[in-house]
Amino acid sequence: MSQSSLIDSSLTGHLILWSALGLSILSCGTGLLAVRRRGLQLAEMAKRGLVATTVLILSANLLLLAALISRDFSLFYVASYTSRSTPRVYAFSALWAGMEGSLLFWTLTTSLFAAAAVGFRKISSPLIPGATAVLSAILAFFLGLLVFGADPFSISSPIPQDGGGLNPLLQSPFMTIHPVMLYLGLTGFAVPFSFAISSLIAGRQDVHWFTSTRRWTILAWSLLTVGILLGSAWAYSELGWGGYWAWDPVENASLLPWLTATAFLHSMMIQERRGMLKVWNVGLIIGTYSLSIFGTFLTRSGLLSSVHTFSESPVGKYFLPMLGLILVGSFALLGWRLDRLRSERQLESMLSREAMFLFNNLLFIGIAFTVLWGTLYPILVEAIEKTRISVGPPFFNAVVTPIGLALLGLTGIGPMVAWRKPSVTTLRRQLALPLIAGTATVLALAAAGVRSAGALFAMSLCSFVAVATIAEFAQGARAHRGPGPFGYISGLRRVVGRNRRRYGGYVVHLGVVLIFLGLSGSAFKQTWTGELKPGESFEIGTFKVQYVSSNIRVTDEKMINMAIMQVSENSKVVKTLRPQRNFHLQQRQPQSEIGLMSTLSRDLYLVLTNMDRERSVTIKAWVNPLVAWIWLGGVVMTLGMIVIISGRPPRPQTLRAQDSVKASAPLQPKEQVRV
Amino acid sequence: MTPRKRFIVAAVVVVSAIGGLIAWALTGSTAYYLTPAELASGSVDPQARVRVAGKVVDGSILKEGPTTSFAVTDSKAQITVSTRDVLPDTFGAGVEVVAEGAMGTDGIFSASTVLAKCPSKFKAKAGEIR
Repeated sequence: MSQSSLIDSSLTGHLILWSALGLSILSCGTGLLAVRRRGLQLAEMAKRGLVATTVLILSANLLLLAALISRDFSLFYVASYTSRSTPRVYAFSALWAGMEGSLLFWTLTTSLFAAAAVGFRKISSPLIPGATAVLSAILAFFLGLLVFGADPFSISSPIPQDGGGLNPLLQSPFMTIHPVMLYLGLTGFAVPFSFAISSLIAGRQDVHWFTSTRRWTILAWSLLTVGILLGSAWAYSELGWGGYWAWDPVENASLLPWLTATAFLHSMMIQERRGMLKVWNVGLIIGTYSLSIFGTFLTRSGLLSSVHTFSESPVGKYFLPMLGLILVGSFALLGWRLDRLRSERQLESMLSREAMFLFNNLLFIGIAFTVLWGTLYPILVEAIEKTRISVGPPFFNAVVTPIGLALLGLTGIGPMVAWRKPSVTTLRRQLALPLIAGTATVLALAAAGVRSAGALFAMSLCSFVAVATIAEFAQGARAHRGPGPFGYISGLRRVVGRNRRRYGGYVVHLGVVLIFLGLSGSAFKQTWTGELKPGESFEIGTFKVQYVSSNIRVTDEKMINMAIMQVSENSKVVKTLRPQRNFHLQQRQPQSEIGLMSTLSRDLYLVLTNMDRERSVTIKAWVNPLVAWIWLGGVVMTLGMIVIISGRPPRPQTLRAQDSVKASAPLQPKEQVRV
Repeated sequence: MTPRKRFIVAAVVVVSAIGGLIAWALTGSTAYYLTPAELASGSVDPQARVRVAGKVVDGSILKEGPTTSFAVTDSKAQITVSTRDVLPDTFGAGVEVVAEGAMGTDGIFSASTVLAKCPSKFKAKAGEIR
């Protein structure tokens, strides 16, 4: 690297960040002024400022990316996370592999969401100036962090010949996508948050703040869901411990905003339809955004250690005041506007859609509180008693499993129940088929020899919900069926096409059922650990696994120890698995590559933990039933999300069409449209 | 009773059930962290599940089939840990580990899980942090 390029990237980077910081502060101030004076020109300026800030942030990211790809080791960040032997695609993902780069990238995703949600909208729409101010303030905070706390453009001196390289655990296709999804999801909640704050500032009491940002909220939620699922798929296929979710504090940090956001997606329907829960909804979106900031704080504070945390850094101390400001500021604003956010109606029946949503919210928040408490409890105890304790997965499993199953049950019942005061007889009729399916499942599984009460219950609940959800589709198709033999299919197409949000939601529910089915398989997990000489074998579940031979190779990057394992079932060879234990020469770190045979009924998962000089191997093996259904459920959920997002924003007609399907509870005309 | 009041009663029941569940589960699944010095002093109930955190001593790692034993130290005292768990990829001499298990009567800490608490996990250059 020449001396001139050294000065260039670093100096240019700093210049861009500083100007973006200045511009974001300016557009925040202009936005606030526009709110105060109701000035359209000021609002336009603020909006343009936000878009320009986004362009600057984007160019800072591109600059760092270019430096990473050209391996410009004059930048300390580049030298820390790439080396000459790092494959190009992973040099790309090194942008978010380190603390400084990931913050820069986090700022980028926030700004892209902000510019997209605000930039293409008419400034005359009333919430824009306030939202612009809030979003600019958020960007200003992160830009300040980049300028003062975590500089991605600092110079390395002396310039090293080669860089440190990317951690081999991060060199996985999952790791190129998973953080991107997660970041987009977490930062996307800035949009509904900023509109909620803007609505509070303006003292409005309508639903405009979330109806006009709903697609962004759903998009953010979808990306977060996919990000979390990809993260657990990465843990399962890369970390080699046979599991996919460990209740690690950082996993929890991504789950927390997901839980409150999911509660919000459901409860905003009550406000939209019935004018209830206004304060609660604003509270939920404030909570969701705060939790997503809290998550970034946890991973960067050095407060806890996990496989996902970045190294300790001074950045943590900036986050707490930011979090405090968001919480205190937002809730103070909410308190100030409390009198304007009265419920327009009250609950009319315990067996109404409203009540189902309320219980849904209660349970989601219950899980969120459990996860938050379990994550923070060790920190609190250490601070108060000075003893260090740990809260393990048994705690989370014991509390979250029953609440999760109750929620699953609601997933089945909720959509059957109409708004306001449904008739009990209709509900009873709708419940019959799902109940029969659930009972039949218990009997069939018990007859097949399943004895775990928890798994029996979970699986029968899964079939109850699946049948109830499919019945919703069937009912809709019948109500809209056309003539001829394919009338039902055209009816299904028509009803789904007209109510994408609703039926897309049901598809997401079906995905959730599949995920629960996969999770319940963990009750039948089997494991085996032992040492094998070449030719020896062991049995696990219905499999016989033989250690046939070994293979040792050395490449530029790593030394590969591979065990060739032949898997047979019923004395027939079904597959050869090749678990590896590799030693990365540059990072001087071992890394396991698992041997995995995945089928719909079960996974066989082999980890090579050691190979000695006589070529004896130590193998840890798992049989994980039904795990594939988790990933399948994730795919189904994603399809559902695509259906939801592809729908047009609801028009009054669409709302009415939704009601005509629910024949049991006709709404009063004046209540049908609440936009 | 109005539906609203009924819901509030139901909500109170649900919330207290969750609260009770949390309290009950918390007593059963917390483990205390101890230093090797505290463990070596012998004052620890041999039945209790605890976690011990410390640095793996150079040259102490011994593999015998599926069992690995190694010594951890907090620079005051040193105890031997034995485990059949799969060791994490970052495990090695000089690495900070957290072992969870119980102290045996033979003075060997028998661990069911071993976590490597590598501060440079996502930082490739060792020794740069701390």
